[in-house]
Amino acid sequence: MKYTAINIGPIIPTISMGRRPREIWAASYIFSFLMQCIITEIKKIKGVEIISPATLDSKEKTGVGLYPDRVFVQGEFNVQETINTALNKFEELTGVSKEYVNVMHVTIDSEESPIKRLNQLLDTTELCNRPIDEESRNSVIDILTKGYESPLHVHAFNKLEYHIPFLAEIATTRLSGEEKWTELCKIFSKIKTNKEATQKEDEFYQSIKEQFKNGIYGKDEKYFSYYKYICIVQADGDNMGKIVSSINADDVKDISQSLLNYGKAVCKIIKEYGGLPIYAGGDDLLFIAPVRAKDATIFDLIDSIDELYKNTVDAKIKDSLRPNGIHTYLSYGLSITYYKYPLYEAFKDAIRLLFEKAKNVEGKNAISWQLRKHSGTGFVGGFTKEMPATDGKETLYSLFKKVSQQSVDEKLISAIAHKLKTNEGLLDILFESYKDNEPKLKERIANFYKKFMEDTDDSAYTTLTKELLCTLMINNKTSEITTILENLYGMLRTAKFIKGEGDKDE
Amino acid sequence: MSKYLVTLTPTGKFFFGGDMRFSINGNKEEFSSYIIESSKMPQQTSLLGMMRFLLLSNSEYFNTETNSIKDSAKKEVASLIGENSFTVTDGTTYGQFGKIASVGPCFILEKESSTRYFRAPADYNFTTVEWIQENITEVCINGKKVRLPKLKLKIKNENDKEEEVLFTGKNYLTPYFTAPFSNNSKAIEEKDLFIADKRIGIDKDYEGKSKTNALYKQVSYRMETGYCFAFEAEVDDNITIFNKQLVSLGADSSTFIFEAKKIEEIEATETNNQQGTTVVLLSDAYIPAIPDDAAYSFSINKMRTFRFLKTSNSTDASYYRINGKTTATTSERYELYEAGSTFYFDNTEKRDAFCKILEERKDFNQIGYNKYYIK
Repeated sequence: MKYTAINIGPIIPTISMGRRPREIWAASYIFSFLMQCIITEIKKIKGVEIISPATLDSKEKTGVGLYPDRVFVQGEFNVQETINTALNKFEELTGVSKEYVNVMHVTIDSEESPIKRLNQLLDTTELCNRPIDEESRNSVIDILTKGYESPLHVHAFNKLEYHIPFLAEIATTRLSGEEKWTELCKIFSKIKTNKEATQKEDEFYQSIKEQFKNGIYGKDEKYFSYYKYICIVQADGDNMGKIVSSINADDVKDISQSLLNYGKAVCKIIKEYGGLPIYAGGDDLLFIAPVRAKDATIFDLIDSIDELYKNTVDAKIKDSLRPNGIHTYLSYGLSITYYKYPLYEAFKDAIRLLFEKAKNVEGKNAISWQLRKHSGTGFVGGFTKEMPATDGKETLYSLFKKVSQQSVDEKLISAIAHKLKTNEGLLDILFESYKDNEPKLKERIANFYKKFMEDTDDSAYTTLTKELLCTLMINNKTSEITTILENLYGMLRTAKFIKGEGDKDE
Repeated sequence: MSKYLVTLTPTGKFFFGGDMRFSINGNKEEFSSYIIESSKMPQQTSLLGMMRFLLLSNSEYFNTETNSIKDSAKKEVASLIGENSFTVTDGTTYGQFGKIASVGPCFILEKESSTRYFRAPADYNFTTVEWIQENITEVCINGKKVRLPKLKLKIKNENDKEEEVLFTGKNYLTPYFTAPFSNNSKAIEEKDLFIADKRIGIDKDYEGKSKTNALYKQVSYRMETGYCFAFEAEVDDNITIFNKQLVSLGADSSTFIFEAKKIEEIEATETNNQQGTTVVLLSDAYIPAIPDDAAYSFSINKMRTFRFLKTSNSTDASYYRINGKTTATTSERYELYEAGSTFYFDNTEKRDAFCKILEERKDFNQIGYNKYYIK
């Protein structure tokens, strides 16, 4: 029995050409569509079967790239001929030169773990690159910048004209129920150039501020800084490679179907929140979202996605297929940036936070984030979502969400941070002495707070920070106290930002 | 004609720009990346430009008050540095740069030992590169059949012990510099040679007003103490008289201390293992097409974008931008194979055919591109 895997690219370099959400969407969709063309041709061949990914009905239009960059096929066929036919159709339908895209394939004879072997071989092929001529490159730039009318929209949405929101629209989605907001957003329709877009976004925000001042959104509603920030989220399944590598082709097909179902459902959740899904292929997910929607924050959205993944993917994996009983979760890289911050850089930050931070957290199932303020300051944070709090009831994550629901003066956060920093030496001694003795550490930290924090105004908030500190210390025994305090400060500042801060430094 | 070893010691941070600008749909809307990261090594075209300006600005034909060529001196300047800067031609002719005959590939010189470091071969991280792969029926990349190597590298496992594993896309390949022509086999990690210097800036125009969309982040580099950039050059003039002068290379007032030493022979940068069938690029290379008889069986490589400023001698040209005006234009965009790119061949015939293609590009070879060695 022959097994073939086909890999396509270059995805990241193409996405890096995008400057607006619609261009990044287009860059990602090109490759999902190319994979769709390849899969369509493979499906015509008798005697071969696609193991992964699961495939959509050809009439189904989801508006998002749901196909990953690799397809695995069981059976013998003329692979290159199939690829050539698909490339010709792809070029005809999109205008993107087939000389731009990389398509590599590997065919092996039957062996114990064909998916694992094929993945490793394809990884090696990706080390071999080729130059792209200017004409081919321009064909891609052309389609990315089509704007309101694009042939890609026909495939994704069944119509030529489609408005993919600008960052300002996404960032202010919380106001989307209001007629004035909807009217204001009309200035973004049919924008042709990026220069025009920048100008319109500036005008948009001036008008939004004015509307808040005039009480359009309710006299108690304030204009917070988060209206000018967007979230880029990159998520990836944990342990999925280990699970898939150890099972047979039929079981891989079942998991692929679960992943496709998850992909369709997660795009719906993200859109309902007010976000823009860019890509949802396999266990990979990329989307842009506002910091706050009507009744939820970005962390609430992440919770919903986690719940969906758990029920749609992990729960569908038979226990007998789990090596060492492992489960699959999602880890996240979250980049929160000012709307003028280069979109591709925010996207790179999200990838880095996912693969260099979140995926290296012990236990995985982690979020790693970075809030980059327009003033140049930044805050980082990260933890495994399962980290148990020292009160025995909560997790660090649930405590963090509690903190982000608290209204608190910035001076209080600064005061707490200052007192912790000033007494870092003492905290280090306590940490090193008692980190293996949880009750003793808690007692010592409680005494510390009693001595140094008793003059802070908000006892509920201060108590939460104490619990966060203890939890971080107990669960990060090999870290330095400086790192623990930085993580805590990052969490407190991010929590306050999400709750809502004034626009004074924007 | 004399041969020189030229060294350029950074005085502080430096910034070598890349292709950060492009226009869309042929209209002139240009925009650049807001986050600009310097390349680690200067472009060969920048070295040529520096050499040309060095000779010009120190000559009697240059008006240092107006920073321009004297009206009467156009012919003399052409003899001194040629009429035009580097241009891509059909590759069959050398450029005319006056007294500058050639510029060699740029490398990092360790001053104390005089060891020359180049970008390590792209397969340097791999402890095993084997050509026997079990069970594979076919491997094709963009329609061409290739021979896939089995690549292994050493990583630290969960118990913090080193073990050799098969390469996967999750493995990070550390960039190194190595000394291929020295018996000293020490490799230096790129991050130990180049120290990042990150700044946030606001782009202002010449009237001091912030430009629209002016916020940017710039990543420049500093070089580790004890090292400098270096290259060999053939010049029909004495350039040691410029020793200790400060020269500019790159953007943002990146300055370097220039020094030149006469050498007897250009040091062999092509110490080749005649039996070897692997070609490693010492410098970036322009290879527009590879026919079947020169095709590699596999390559581990990276591409980089290449653009350069095109200038011609003009008495109207000012060698500083004033009020944003300059007579330089940007070239077309090319893609080069990055230095260190490694090409594997089935036999020495194909290897030689490939090397011939590299050598045949006279325009690029003359200024230090397309250099290679065989291992």
